[in-house]
Amino acid sequence: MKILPKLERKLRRLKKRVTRTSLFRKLDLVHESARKKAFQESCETYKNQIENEYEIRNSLPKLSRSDKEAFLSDGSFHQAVGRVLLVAEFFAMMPVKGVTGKHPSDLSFSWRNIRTCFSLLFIASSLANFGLSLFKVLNNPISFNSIKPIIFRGSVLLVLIVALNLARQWPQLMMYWHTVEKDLPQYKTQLTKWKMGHTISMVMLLGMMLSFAEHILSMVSAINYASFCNRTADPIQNYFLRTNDEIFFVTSYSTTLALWGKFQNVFSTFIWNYMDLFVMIVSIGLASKFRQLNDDLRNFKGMNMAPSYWSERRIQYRNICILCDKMDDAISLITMVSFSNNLYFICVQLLRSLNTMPSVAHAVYFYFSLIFLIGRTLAVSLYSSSVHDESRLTLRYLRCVPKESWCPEVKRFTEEVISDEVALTGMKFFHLTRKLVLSVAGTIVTYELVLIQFHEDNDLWDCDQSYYS
Amino acid sequence: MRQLKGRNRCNRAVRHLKIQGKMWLKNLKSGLEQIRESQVRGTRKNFLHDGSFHEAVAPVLAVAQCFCLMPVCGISAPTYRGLSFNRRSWRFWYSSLYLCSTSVDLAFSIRRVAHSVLDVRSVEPIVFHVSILIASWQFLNLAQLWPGLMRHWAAVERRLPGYTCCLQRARPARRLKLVAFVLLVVSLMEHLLSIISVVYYDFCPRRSDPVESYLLGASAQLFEVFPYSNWLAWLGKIQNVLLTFGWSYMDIFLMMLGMGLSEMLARLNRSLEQQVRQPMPEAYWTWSRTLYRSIVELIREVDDAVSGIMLISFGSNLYFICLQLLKSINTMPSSAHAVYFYFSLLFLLSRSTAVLLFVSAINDQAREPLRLLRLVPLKGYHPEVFRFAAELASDQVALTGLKFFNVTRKLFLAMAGTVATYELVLIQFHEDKKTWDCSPFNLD
Repeated sequence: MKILPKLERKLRRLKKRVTRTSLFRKLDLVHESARKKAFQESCETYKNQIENEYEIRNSLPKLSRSDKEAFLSDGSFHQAVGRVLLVAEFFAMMPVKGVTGKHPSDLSFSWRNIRTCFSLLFIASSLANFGLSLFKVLNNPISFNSIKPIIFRGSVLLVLIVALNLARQWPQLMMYWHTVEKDLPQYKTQLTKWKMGHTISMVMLLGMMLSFAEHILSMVSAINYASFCNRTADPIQNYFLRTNDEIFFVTSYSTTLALWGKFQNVFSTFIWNYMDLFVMIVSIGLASKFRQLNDDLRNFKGMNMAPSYWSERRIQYRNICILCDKMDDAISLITMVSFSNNLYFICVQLLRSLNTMPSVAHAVYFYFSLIFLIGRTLAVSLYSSSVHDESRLTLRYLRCVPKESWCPEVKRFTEEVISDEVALTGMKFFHLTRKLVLSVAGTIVTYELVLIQFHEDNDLWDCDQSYYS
Repeated sequence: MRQLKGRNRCNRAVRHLKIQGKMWLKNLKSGLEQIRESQVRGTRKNFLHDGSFHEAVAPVLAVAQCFCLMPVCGISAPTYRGLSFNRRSWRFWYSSLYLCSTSVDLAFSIRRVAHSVLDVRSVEPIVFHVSILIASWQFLNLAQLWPGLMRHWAAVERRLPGYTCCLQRARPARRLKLVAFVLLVVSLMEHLLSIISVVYYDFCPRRSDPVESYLLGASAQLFEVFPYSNWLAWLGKIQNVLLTFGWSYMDIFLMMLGMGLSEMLARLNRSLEQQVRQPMPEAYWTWSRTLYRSIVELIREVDDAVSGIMLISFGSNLYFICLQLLKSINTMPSSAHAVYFYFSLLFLLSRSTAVLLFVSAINDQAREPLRLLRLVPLKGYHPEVFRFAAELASDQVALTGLKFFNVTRKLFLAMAGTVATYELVLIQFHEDKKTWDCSPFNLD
């Protein structure tokens, strides 16, 4: 009985010997060693890669000489908006870390970060300032004109809080933006990549320069006025008494408080301008993404394309729409505040334009600020409506699809474009389209005509009154 | 010897004269022939229309060029191929000069307004000048685009279904010319009436000579800076005439475009109307859909080129209607003034209405195929018809005012409502005494 298994084993060995010749064995060995080698190699390359990346990340010197790569834009929104957010961080808004990084995964938000602390501190100080001006306005007769400081400070405070909230979502938003961008038809040339970033930085630069000029002019006119009213002997004290009247309505004059008021004033003015610029910049970004898609569609306009092309484009369009919705949810409050603020301030300024100006400095400042305000409002409305315009432009290319390549996918795409209203909104109350510009202009004229009827000249350039915001 | 020499000289002179005479005769002959060639008697061919928009609009553009607008070369060429835009042509320099002189005039008007009280009425010259300045600038840009635009237009026209007879072919061009002619004549009449009403019933003559007094009033913004001189006054008057014409011409031009574009759509509609009740093959619907699409593309291209002019035209019409209605409350100093005033008011109102109706005809005609497509029988209802109908139902085809508003018939009521609202508010601030006062003598 014991022989049988032994026999079996022998038979098996024999079989093996028959099937596995020496050549096969050698081949097996070679194969095995090659496999091991390949595995080792891939391990090593991976290791090297990781090490390299780590080295690059660590050894990227803080003050290295930049090469051409550093200045080449990759056409991403994250890169284009980096410097804009950096400026905002300096003015205590949008406390996100890593805004100038190459990749959006470098972005992060934390409550213990110094930027966040700075921002929180500034919100607290604005709140105090807002309380002071509320106190002052409530202790005086209330009119359309006199609530201007409350509206100004209140909206700045609101925008600060919204921006803090936005900063928390910003890393995820930028990551989503990155995934959408990666999927879009790529830019062909460096010039097209560079274009969006260039527009954004130009808008930012121009807006900042103009608001800076406006602030300087306002200081000149305030100094002029302060010396005219002349409450005390010290001209600097006069100036601060005039510009920070809400603080010194409660307490007596002190230099620290005056400086705090001035600091608060400069920052508030910046933030007030920045909210418009921010809405503009986000809409430039969104519109350029739609344009990127439209450019590709224009290149293939009227050609016979495969259904897969259309489904790809439709998904890309849908992604941008979702991105637009997400951005809109995040910034719609800022848009709302910006639009209503502009409406109110244009009404007030136009109403004031009826008054006689006390001096040339006032007239220059006044008309400059009025034109700046109107121009800025117009720019915000036009840039933000460009998102809607670009999203509708897709339809024009879809209409030119020839009969041969008309397929359910194109039909679905067309119907989606027709029925969707893709635009930034003001808290979903109104869509920002070009038609809105006309209705806003009509509203301003109507209110103005009504307000003029209740207008009296005497109370605005009085020494006791606050005119400065 | 002396005699011989004298005779020789004489002979030489005679020979010289003979040669000269022959050459002169030859020149004369060739010149005459050239004249004869160019002055051939017109044949039937010369008076036949080819039904193209380029041909129809040429005389209107030629009139515009007399008044320094649309500096495009080759408008009298038989086809669009002759059109070109050249920066070195005299037309371009002529209209650039006009732009410069308008800007200078604008500066003087601003200076004049800034020295008086600012309100709705006193800014009138500024609004007038600025709107025409921007419009002329837009016309200059349009002239640059015009050859390309006409090329595209002709390409679309070639694809359209043909006319049945030559009479029908001539009709759109004739209608277009008639409208332009009537409007130009009426605007000329309005200008003459304004001159008459001012010259013959001058209440506060500033100079002894009535013509000089009129000229002084017509360009008062110049003579607040300079002392009176005749040549400056005439220059001012020429500028004034050019401006007034340019202001009317904006509307006329838009009407021409509206008529041309709606005629193209109407041609398509006429052909659809004949075929729509029979079951047509699918290829027919593909043809008509692509044709409609190409017309719409052309409309979009035209819109991109002229939407600025459209916005200015509608805006300035709105402002001037408000202003004139406000002035109508005033008492008129004489019947000549009253005639001029009501004539110009009526002209303004009818011109604005006409622009709106002619331009909105594009929208009406573009909606028309949808009504026709509903009549397609079941047998002929192809997927192409379905696609065509869906496209028609969802698209809004119209010229726009810088994309801010679409020019449709609904706009008419909206504008009327706006005029009424502003008018009611403005009346409340209105004071009568100012308009016919001697000191700020307003002239349009």
